[in-house]
Amino acid sequence: MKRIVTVVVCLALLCGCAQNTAAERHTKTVFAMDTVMELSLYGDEELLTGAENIISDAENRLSVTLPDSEIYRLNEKGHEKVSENTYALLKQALELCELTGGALDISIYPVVKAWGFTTDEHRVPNADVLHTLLQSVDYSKIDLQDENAVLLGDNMQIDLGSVAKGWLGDAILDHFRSNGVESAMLDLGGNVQALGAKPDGSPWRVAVTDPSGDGYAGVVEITDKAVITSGGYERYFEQDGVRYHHIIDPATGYPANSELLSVTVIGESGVTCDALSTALFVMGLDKAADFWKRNDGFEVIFITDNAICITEGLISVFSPLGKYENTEVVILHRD
Amino acid sequence: MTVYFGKKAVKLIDIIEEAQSANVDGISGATYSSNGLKNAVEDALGKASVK
Repeated sequence: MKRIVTVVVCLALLCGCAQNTAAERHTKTVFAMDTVMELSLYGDEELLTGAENIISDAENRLSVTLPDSEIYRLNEKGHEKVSENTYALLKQALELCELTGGALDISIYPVVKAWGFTTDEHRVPNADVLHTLLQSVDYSKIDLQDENAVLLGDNMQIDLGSVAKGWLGDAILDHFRSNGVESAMLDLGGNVQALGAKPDGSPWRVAVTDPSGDGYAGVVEITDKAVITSGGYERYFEQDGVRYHHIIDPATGYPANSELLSVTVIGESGVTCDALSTALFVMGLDKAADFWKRNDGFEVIFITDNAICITEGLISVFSPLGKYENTEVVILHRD
Repeated sequence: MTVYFGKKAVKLIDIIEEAQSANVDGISGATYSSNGLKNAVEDALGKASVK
């Protein structure tokens, strides 16, 4: 009997080894959408080429600056027949604008442009200019018509930057999953999206950047989830001693002004997490906490200058780090 | 007026080293710009050549 057990153990070990060599780790770095993307998967290296094609196709369709992109043409003409994929993303984006009561608005683009965030030529726009531009900001005036035709409101321009990378992460992981990959990790310019668990079965450990200093504010352990952060600490400028960041509140035309330094949304859908991280940042802590209580399917890490607030689903998987290690983590509960 | 290119771009190498030491598989953060990264690298190269 003892011998049989030994043989079974040896076989199990051999199988384990064979599986590990079959699923070798492959990585690729891609520069796209004005950021850096790191792709890694355990499995067929060739799938990374497919992922690169998905990225360049998305950039060619969705870029606001490439003169031949569908979004560029739509913005120029005010109407355009777009591809199936772009139409589907627009539909999803508009649902998220609606869900968040306009805290996310994909038609804020002309205002972001006026602040110079699209060209790195930063300036504080004149209040009259902002007032005029805001007249044309209203996602509800975007009309999705039959046969993938899209019609914009008067003087409207849109940018899918707040959802494009989340969508892209979902598309790449679908491509990996449908080709048999069980374990993969993407970092699309700070958007982390994981397929499955690590090859040894343990969850992925994803750090959340400390928005007010160097290093990390904490680590969250996840399987099959997106971990997407919005904050004003990467893209901003200072003028006359005031700091202006790039996340513009569609209600005011000015950078969202709240106690939040960053918002991290964790859930299954990359596109939803991407949109919600921006929208919750714009809402500020109180409204965002209410929004979470009224909606399912995602968890949130809110970071202010001196505190971390997490939703109850993260209690067993989140650990604070660095300067937050010795501060109390506030837990948000659904009533 | 001061323009910042983001700490992630400037400190990319520090961050990679830190990721290795803190045993994490990914880092979630606000989107950084590859222009910022390029400028940071050019700055660093410029400084290196002055020395």
